[in-house]
Amino acid sequence: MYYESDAVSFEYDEDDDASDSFSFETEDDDAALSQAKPLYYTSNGTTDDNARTSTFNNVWYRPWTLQEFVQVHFLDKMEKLKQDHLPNCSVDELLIMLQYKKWQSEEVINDYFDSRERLYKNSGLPLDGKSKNTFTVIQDFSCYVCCETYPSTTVYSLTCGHQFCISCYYHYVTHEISNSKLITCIDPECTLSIPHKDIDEIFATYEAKVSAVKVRKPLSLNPLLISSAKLFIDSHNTYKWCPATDCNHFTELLGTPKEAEEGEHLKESKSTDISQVSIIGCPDHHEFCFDCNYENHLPCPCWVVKLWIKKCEDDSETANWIDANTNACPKCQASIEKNGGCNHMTCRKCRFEFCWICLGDWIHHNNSYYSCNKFKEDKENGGNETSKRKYKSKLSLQKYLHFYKRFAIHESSMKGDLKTLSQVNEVTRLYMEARKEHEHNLSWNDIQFLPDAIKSLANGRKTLKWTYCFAYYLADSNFSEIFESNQDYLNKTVEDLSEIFESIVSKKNTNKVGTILKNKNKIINLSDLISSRRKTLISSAEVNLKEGLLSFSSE
Amino acid sequence: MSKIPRNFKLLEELEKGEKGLGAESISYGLTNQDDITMTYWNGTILGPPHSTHENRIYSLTIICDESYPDKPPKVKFISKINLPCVDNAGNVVVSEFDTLKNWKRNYTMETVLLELRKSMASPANKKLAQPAEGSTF
Amino acid sequence: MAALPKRIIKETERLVSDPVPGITAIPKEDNLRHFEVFIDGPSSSPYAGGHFSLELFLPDDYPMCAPKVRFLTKIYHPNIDKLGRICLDVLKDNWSPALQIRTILLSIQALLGAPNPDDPLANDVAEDWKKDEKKAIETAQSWTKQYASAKLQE
Repeated sequence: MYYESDAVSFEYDEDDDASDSFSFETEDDDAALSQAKPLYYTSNGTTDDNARTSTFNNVWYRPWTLQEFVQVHFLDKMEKLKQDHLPNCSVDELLIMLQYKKWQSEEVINDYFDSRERLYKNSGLPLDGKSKNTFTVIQDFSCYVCCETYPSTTVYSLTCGHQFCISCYYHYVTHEISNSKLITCIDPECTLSIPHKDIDEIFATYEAKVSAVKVRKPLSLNPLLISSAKLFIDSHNTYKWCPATDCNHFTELLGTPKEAEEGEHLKESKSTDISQVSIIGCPDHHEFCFDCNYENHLPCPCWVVKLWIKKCEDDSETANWIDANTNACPKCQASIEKNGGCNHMTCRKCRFEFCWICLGDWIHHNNSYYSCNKFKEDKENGGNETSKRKYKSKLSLQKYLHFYKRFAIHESSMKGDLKTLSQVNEVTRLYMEARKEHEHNLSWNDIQFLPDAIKSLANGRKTLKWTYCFAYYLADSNFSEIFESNQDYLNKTVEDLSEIFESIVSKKNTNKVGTILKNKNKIINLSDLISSRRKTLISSAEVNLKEGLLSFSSE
Repeated sequence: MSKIPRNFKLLEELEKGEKGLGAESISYGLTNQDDITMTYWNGTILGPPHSTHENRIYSLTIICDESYPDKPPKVKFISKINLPCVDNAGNVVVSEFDTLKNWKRNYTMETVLLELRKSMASPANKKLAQPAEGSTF
Repeated sequence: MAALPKRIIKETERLVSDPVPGITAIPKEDNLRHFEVFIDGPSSSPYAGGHFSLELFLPDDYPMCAPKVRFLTKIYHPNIDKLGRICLDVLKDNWSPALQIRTILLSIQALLGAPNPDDPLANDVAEDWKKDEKKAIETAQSWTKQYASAKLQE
């Protein structure tokens, strides 16, 4: 249901302004938003230029990468400490003291001026401030830990002079690093701490032995600092990890309009005010809910999501028979496997065009109103109590399967889309590489619209997916029809865009880049349309829920 | 991977069970807290939803003798249950229950209990008529 | 089974050729990472005269992580529980790869000589110990006689 950022990010994405505001709004709304953005003051009194707001409500948040976090919370802090208070201390010493004092600069300053000697001793620094840590290559070295004798090996020692081979130090540090604490000399009697930079050097030296290439990484990628950052994030509840698969980013909640206590209350109660759902984003633009740490599940409130997930887990055996990946052509019964994301299918054998979801003729889907989303209850047939009861339980299962199937199809379509999109990405990349030789006039700017369209499609599918959960719990009313038609609109737009992408990578299409450019306006329009229809659907659901025109039926 | 000896494997399992790190729907622990041989264990399974076992709690005994984990443990239901792999004395029949039949050294008591629960929820078994709740073998 | 690391071979050789007085550790034939251990109770302790049986296992990560050790003989001690599990800093946070099987076993022997009821694993024993140390020591002595007498095990 999530995509790996690698698969769809374009090379030029790196130049992409990282401060892109995450929102459901179109570009224009973003501009308006950034003007209205008040300054947010962080705990240490400075303004945070990286704060964003979710346009649904006034939730303020800051998307973080681990590297950024290490830079801001550890390295910048260290630089400031050096400049303002302890200019004579080395970077190694400052990082060790800060790590020892759990990154509280004030405590380092206090302890330092109380008794420098004690602070140095406790944090494992040589008292005279002269560290003699060395990496040396030694012939015929016998290591006390692994008991191996090396004809020649790199040996590391701290100021204490206790020497151990680089391989043992590598395995030792790798094993200790998850504790997020200072790592001392291997000798159990020795309390000297290994400086952060030396940890990098230990890794680089050991890995160079294996790969023959010595890679130097910036201090902001230091494994001990990264591990300490993780511990910090795990132990502070204002931070949440992005739940997307393989995403290592996280987000800090800066402020929220609801009081903490009220927030707790809202989570417990069956509130239908979906403007209170704290949808936030990570640096890779994955949207997720801060409260339930699930992907963006709007238009559903958190408690509905919980009910749905529980139901899907409990009924998984029942739902298992739905094979979302194979179907037979409704006309000629030839077996059809779905590869991409688009639900508009054409049978290879008989050329019948149909909808993957309802297996109906696609012709009906191109009209302005199409109804494959709607669950129609069969007319109840008479009969005695027993058959009525049986009928009712059959109906309830049918209803669940109807919505579950659509929910699951969009989930798997999303994977198909992403596969297609990564192919589009690859095609474009190859073309752009070859472009120089043939001196075409195409520039990177001309295809900048693709990443946005990709994001738009993925988010559109995600919202669609959750509309089926929403619809399952929705009580029947005139307004539920409005919701359904909004759902249909969004569905159609998503399918249209998905279809264009699929046609680009289809086998018969030789001039792929030409097709991309030919469809440029269509792609841009559709992706804008998805964003706005998505927004319309969610805000209309929000308003109608608030006014009681839509309600959830008790299960 | 080196072979972890029986006692240290059982200590690991005990720790996982004591700390409640495993699945919520099952639990297990030593029958006697001072059984230094760690042979006799008690297990419980929470009946899976949407089956005739829903809301029931099943008690079992598990015996890990000297051959564990090279050989599977002996598993017996205390609570009465109607399940194809359980004989009329409550014993889980090795040949009828795949987890015990195709036992692997890295399986645990948790594996056994979870697989039994899965079997209770399987389409073939979930509708089986069950003896009165609370009756024992 | 994977080849035994040189470190384990060396340690084993030395444990056999140059044993620590009062401690024996012999690897089992079917698993060379699994040791049968005997520790004699320190003479000035309530465990004096006792011959305690333990087992020790070296996990895959050894020596980056500590060996796993437990008592097989019943023992009345505030830092050892009913299942023989031991609460000792060098077996946990204070482990260092430069420590060895022999140093760990010496630490366990030392723990017998210096029970620490303030950092207990067996809460009931620790409480008895703090309430009435004299009586606790008597219990430890009688358990030693009952369960750890050398004659019983040979």
